Amino acid sequence: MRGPVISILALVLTACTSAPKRDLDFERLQGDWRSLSSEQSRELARLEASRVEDALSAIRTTPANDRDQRAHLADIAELRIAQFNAAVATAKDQQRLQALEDESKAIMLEATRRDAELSRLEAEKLRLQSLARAEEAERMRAEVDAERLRSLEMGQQVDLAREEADSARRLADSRRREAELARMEAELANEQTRSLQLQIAQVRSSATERGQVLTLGDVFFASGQSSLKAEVRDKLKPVLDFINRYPGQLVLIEGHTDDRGSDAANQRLSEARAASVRDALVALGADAGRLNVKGLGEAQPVTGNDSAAGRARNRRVDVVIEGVR
Amino acid sequence: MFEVAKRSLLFGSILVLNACASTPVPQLELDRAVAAIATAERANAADLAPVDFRIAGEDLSRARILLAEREHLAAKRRLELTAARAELAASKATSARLRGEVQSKEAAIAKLRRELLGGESL
Repeated sequence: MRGPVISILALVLTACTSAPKRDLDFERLQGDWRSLSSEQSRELARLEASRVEDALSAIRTTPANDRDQRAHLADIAELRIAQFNAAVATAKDQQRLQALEDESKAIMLEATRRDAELSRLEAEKLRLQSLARAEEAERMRAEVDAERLRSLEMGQQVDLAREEADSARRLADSRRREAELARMEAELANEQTRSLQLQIAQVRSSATERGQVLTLGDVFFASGQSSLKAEVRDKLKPVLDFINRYPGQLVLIEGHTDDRGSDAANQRLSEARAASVRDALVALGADAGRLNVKGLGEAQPVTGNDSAAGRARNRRVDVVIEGVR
Repeated sequence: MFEVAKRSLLFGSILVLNACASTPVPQLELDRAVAAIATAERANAADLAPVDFRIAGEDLSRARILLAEREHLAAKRRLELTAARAELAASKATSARLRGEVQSKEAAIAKLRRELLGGESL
């Protein structure tokens, strides 16, 4: 009875092992899997790892005598292991890609930072250049100012020197003119004195139709004044002598002016000058009772008033001894 | 003895036939295999994992023949292999695509470094 049973089993096994006989060693697969799969790689491809585990588990649960099925499951497990490897590579590449993406961003960021830094440096450089230019401009301005100041000072000094020189020259001129003037005045004074003395010396009477007439020229009076010059008061002695030559005769003292000024003023001036002469003569000892004073103003000129010389001649005081020839 | 053997053979044959015929039509495995190949195709496995993709296709063809021959068990196993192979092809295609992306990215970064940082590292 044992024989037929063995035969039947053999037949059954023969019938089911129609697939080609493969020498796939389950132990080898498991060894491969252990060496391939680290905890880290399983983390990267969990689904694929579990499929490998499932495939290996399927082999384990398949009876050892079901070789075809085990061989088939071994083929599947082998494919699953290959797929696991591909999945791990994919996961690693994904990580790598992410890292590269981060790196790319970092590079862009760094480039941007460097650009910004370059821009900042460029801006700083420009700022410093600008500052340097401003300082240079300021320095130049200061130099120009200083130069201008120096020029100004020099100019002022020159001006001052020139002014001083001008001033000194003007002063010298002024002094020279003053000296000249003084000299001229002195000369003039001398001339006047000489002229006065000459005129006084030349005072002499002349016989006219009215009688003896003695004329005192305008040199006896200060200009515009009615009083006699101080220096001529004691020079009237010849006049006193003249009137004393005719004792008992009335003496008429007539004042005359030129035609300058108003008639009234000339009238007053002529009277005052005549009075001055009378007073001086009285002071010298003349008999006041004989002396009559009269102002004739500009009414009786001896010559024309057109020239200075003519007007000088018209300004006079006549001392007249009437009726005496 | 011969008689016994003859009967045993007959009985065994019946058992064998029963054993093979007991495997139903592996519709589920067929569907999975076809879907796995479609997935691999979408992953561009034809270009990126051509060997595995071709083997998967051949396995499917072989499985269809076995199905036609009503070799259900063999067809089932072939379909399981087809699915596993197609999934491997898809994974390899994905991996290859990603590898390409990594290489492109590395090249791009090297270019960026040259252009933006003058070849310096960060």
